[in-house]
Amino acid sequence: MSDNIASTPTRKGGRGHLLLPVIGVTIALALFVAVTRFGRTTPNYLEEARAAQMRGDTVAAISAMKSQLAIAPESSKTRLQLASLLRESDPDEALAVLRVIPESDANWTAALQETAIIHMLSGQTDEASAALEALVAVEPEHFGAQLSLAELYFNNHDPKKALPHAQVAAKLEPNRAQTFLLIADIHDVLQNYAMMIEPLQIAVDIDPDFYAAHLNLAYAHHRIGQLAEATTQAEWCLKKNSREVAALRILASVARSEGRFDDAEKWLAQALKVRPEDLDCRILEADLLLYQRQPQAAYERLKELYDSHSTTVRYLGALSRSAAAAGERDEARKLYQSVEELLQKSRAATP
Amino acid sequence: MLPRRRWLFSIGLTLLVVVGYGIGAIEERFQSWHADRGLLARLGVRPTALPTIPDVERSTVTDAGLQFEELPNSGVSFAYDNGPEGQFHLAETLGGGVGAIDFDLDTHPDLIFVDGGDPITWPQNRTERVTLYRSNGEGRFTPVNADWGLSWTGYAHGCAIADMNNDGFDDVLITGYQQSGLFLNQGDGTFQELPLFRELAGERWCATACWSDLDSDGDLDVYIACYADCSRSLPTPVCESKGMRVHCNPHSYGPVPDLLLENTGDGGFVDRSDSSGIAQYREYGLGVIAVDLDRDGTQEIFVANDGDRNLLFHQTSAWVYEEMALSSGVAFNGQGETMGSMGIACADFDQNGQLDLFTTNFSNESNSLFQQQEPLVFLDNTQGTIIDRISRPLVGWSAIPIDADADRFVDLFVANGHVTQMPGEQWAQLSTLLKNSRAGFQDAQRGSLWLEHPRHARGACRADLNRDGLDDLVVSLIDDPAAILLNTTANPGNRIQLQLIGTASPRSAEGAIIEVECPAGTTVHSLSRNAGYLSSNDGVITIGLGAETSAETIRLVWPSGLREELQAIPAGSRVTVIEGRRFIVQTGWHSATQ
Repeated sequence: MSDNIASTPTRKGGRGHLLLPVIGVTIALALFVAVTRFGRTTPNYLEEARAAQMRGDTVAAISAMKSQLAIAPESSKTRLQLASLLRESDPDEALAVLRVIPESDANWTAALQETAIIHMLSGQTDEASAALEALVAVEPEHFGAQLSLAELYFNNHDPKKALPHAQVAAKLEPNRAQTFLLIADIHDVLQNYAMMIEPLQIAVDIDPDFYAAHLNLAYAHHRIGQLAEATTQAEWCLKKNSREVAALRILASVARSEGRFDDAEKWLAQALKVRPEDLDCRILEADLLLYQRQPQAAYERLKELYDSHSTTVRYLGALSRSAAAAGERDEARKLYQSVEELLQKSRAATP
Repeated sequence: MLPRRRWLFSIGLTLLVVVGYGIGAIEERFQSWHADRGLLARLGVRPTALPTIPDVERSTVTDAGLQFEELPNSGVSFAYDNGPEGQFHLAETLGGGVGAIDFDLDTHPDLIFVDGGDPITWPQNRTERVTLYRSNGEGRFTPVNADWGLSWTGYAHGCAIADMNNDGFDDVLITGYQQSGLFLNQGDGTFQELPLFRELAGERWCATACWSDLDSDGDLDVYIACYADCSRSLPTPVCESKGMRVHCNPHSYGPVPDLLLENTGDGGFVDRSDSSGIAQYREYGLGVIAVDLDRDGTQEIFVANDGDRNLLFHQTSAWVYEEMALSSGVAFNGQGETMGSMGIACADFDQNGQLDLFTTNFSNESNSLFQQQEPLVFLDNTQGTIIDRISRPLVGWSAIPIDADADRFVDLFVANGHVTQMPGEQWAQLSTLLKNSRAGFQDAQRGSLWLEHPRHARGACRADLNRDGLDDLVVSLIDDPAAILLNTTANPGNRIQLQLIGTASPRSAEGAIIEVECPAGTTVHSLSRNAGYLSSNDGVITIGLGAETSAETIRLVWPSGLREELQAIPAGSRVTVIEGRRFIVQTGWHSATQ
């Protein structure tokens, strides 16, 4: 034991000799484990997911991404990738995966975008627009979000909300003609027909061959009584497509407004040749027949469409008027009654 | 002498001097009424010489040849007060009307204006809200003092003038927000309210009233277009448009049914709203007109509704109506859309022998001209016409058919002004003057200074204020003095004026149809004092003859069904026709004889 006292330094020196290899081994082991785990698992889960996606095996891809998320739950990038995979199969889980990404995260706006996409795919338009609104609040110059919001509100019958987003989107990408067509569509629904002209004009300035824009210009000019401009645009469309019923109908209507009944008949005949049951054309045809004091013919022609338009108020109104003019008073009354019921139903449905 | 006595004396003196022109014999059945018939028996008073109007603001002629100039210093200072700023009560949007009323029977149309005030506090506010101006016959007016008995403190919109009791004196029906009242002209310059009427009208919010003999019993019944069920409580609901506070759409409130009241001829009324079938339609009524559109001897009732379909009531039997706007093509516009319709004008604009209907509508909607093709078959071909182009940005109210240049084609005046300050739209707006011709309408805006400035115009009426044989216009404005617009059209055509006095028909002959045949063709007219929106025209009707020096034949169809013909009436005549008895031709102004 005296050796112990005498050898204390030595013992110390001896213990250190033993400890160092242990520490070294432990570190080496740890490094090994770390290296092997990271070297093997991290790249491999992601690789597995990618490979599974490549071969169309979404289930396997999701499984791999979930494993990856288990390893790195704080990774917002992984969450985004997993949510993207889960979008369609399990939107609720996808949303849950995204929900934990904090606002401070660099991928917060990407998460909002993914959230919006998931809601849109699920038909949850209110939630989708809420996510997009949050996104444009952070990134007002996000073209996709602005345009999506515009489309979303427009399709959701809220044109007033759609308009400002469409206008911002148009400013952000001023060379995209389709956005200006959307703005014009919104004005149409808002019955601001005069305001359709400017965006449509921009659309055709961007793309002079933009057919839909020309056709809508014809429609808008006609709606606000600019008959010469409507004629120019309708004729442009007919040069591209001689069977364009909307353009033919506009030309017929312009001719009628200008008292050129023969021309109106000519254009209408062409339109009805292409689409014999076009309601607007048939109502215009009935108007012309009434002008020509042929109420019976107007009634007979309109009556042919009854089965397909028996719940259309405008059609029933036109038919009822023709019936009354033709002396079919009982029939006119019956049709009136139908309209009355439709209007009552419509009012009851209005909150 | 008490003030009222002094007034009576002055009126009596006036009546003795000038009354009687064209009044004729009065049926014995009206003897129970209180007016002094003795004064009315005197005939033969001649109109004075042509007045000259030296101080119109300017005398340029429009491209379209029509010219109206505001008469300065007319004496009319009335401005419609629609309510306090920032309150946003819906009643503030409708404005008020004006009536041409010859209340003292001196043959010069006097003017009556109704006022609003504060729609919230009016029951507590005792301010008189009706102003009467007496004409001096040359387009100048003097306010009548407050002793005339038409005491009205409610929030008013409309004044429907008619001789409802056939005593020869015009009575006044005032419609308004939650209160309407009928005031009978006592024939001595004073009015007295018929309390029963106020009870029948109740507290509903009513706009335009239209007098017409609906049951062919010789007295005038009344249809009243009523609007929305909007309470008086505060705070008023306020809506927002593009960040601005605006009045809410009337459809934020429920509609109220219109009123149809039968005049029983003895000072009473019976409510026929339910039994006639009209009460089942609730559509935010603003304008109404009664006219025999299909010329079958009964009056149709056309109602312009705000944001809902229009209604056309056709009488199937006594006090039973069939609604047939849809079958007639007047429920919606030509595109099948509902309109925010306000006022109505009725005339044969296209000279096809059928009376047409014109409605004024909200902005971004065209006004609509429904052309009657066959009896009760209308076509709206307004889209793309100048009416469409001019009216689309405007909110239209009164529409007055007026042959301003006496060329045989009925022109149109439309009073415009937005309901509220809306983002991106003008609040004050230009009123519209359209000249009609064989080629259709054309813009006649330029050249008339008053028409070149935007205003808040609402009710308007037509009357020959200066007795020059041309109809003038009076327009009630919100927050601005009403405008007296003298027709100063240069080189107008020849014309005649008719005053019809019914005997079997109501005395005012409201609804009579007049066909005037000339070598140039036949024109059809309807005698309608009701001006379509809150207002009343003068009872004398002016008919343009263009270059014709006489009307070869004038065919009259009286509301009673009686048909009469007058032959070879020279241009420049003012003709008083007494139903079934005689007519008196007077000449009173320069005829532009070719």
